[in-house]
Amino acid sequence: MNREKWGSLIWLGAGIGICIGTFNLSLGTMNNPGPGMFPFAAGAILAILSSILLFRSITSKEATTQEEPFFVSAGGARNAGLVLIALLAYAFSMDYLGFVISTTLFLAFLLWAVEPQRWYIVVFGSLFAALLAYTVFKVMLDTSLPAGLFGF
Amino acid sequence: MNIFDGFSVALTLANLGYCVAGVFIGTLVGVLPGLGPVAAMSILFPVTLGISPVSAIIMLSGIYYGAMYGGSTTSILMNIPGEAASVVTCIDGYKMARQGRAGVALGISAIGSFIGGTLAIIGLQTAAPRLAKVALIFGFPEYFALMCCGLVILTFMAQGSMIKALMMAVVGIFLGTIGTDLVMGTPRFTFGVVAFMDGIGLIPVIMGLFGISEVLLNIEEKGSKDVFSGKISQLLPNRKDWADSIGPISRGSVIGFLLGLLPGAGPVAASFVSYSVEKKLSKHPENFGNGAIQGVAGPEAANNAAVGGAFIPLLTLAIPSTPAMALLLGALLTYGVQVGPLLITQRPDIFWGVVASMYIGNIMLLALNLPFIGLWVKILKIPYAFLFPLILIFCVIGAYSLSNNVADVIVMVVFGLIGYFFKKLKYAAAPLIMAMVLSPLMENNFRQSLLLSHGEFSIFFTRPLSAFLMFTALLLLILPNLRWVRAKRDERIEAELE
Repeated sequence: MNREKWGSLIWLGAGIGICIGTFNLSLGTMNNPGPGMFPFAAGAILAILSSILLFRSITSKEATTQEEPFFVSAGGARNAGLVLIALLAYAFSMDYLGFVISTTLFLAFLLWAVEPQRWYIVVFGSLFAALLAYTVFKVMLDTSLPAGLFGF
Repeated sequence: MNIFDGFSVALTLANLGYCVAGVFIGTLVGVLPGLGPVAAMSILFPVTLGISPVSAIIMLSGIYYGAMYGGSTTSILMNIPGEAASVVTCIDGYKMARQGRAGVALGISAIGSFIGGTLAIIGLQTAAPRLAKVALIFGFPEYFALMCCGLVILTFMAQGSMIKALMMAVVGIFLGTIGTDLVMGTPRFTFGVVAFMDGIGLIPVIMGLFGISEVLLNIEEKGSKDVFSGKISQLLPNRKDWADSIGPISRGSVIGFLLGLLPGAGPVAASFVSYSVEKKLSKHPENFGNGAIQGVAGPEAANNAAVGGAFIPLLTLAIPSTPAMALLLGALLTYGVQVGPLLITQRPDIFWGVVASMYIGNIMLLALNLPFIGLWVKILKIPYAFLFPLILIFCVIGAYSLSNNVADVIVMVVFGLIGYFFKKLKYAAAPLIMAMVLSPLMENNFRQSLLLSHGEFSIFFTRPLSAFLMFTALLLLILPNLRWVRAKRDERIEAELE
């Protein structure tokens, strides 16, 4: 099955899911529309549009032609995956470790794993960048940053 | 209040500082490939929460039009557009650089940008107050119809499949409904998550779709960057260059301004249209693609003029025509500013202050761009391996500081992944963003209209103005399905992609 079909099937599922999700909200009447009416309409239209897209992708001649590879290269996909995982780990840990420690670890991981650098760049570069970001955003701009268990 | 009072607002030391900061950051993100103005504006949005709305909008708009200037530098020197509106500048700008005319290309692009930008501000200053007066007759049905029409125009103008663009708009409308319903107080699609009670934040979604996804794509497609290494001399165009450029700059300014008004067209379409118009009008179309100065001057004037044009629907009708404008609308709403036709009369300081700051900003950009070319070239040489972790850190700081909540960071990362897949599967993110910001306004106007008409849906088709807008929207929905229109549209898209 090609990408277009997969994509439209996912959207069709999402559209139906949204419509089902509005069942426990009141749709209201035309006189007095309820909180469910607008999202229900959005879900229904999404389902209709994705059905059209699905139909077109089934009947289209292009469906049988070769598609370009989804990922540019295996290494590239690995890097994108690593960054994503690192970002999630960073997000979940920042409230506990605080901004400086979590940022240093995050940067060090990226500099070590994605496009590997020399060890001293990994260690000192990430620490320096985290402290610089803390100074600029927290000290100078008074932006709120996660304090964590250690307070910074 | 008028433009002179606007200058008294924009020329205060603080606002002047915010304007300088905005255009400087804008130029910087314009120069850097992989970080666009929309992502930069959303990263800096939390910083603006502590300052006055006027100063905030002055700075955020400075980033936007500043990026239009900066984007051309990367196009000319590296053949990589710093941001989407500078894609066409690559074609002839980079060729000019290879022919040893990098200085002139940079010079004419800065001057063209300045003229286009300034003419558009004059247009904005003249047209917006008049349009706002007309917009005062809009009621709930007219507003709903206008927003429907705007979204349909946006999907009509979008690159690629119109159905996909419409789907994205509908998804955006749905995302905009998440959170507590304002009329009944019912939580919708919050799944018990407290952070979603106020809705999914526009800013984390924008940062994810435009910032994080771009980083993911860039690290996947690692490519070597060939930075121009020659010496850049003679920035000022000679008499012949001037003669060749003045026509394209004037036409580009008009094209850009008019296209800027349309939802979805914006600076990107303006630069493409200007390029093809210049090529068609030229006596030597064969020079285009081989370093024709007209191919730099026209599109650069057009993309800057489009920014000025895009402010008109935003400041008079609360209709954003580009994702950056959607962000500004979101920002104004967050600052508690009533956006719409009354903005100019109720908050003249914002309207006239921003307009005046744009005049000042354009002059600053001209001064900033040319003497600092050397600095921009140095920045371009920073390896992406060091740049992308910093972009990610800025995005995370921006998302977290919105409400001191990790949930916003997670939303951003999730939308980064979604945006990554959108780009791979050729779904445009712009309609989603614009629909998301318009969704609460649309729903409110829709519900109020039905209350007004006692449940008669025909209210949207019986009042002349709303009927006109609704029929225009319907026509635009039907048009692409007519065979000859589809063929024409496909041709245009192919030409743009080439």
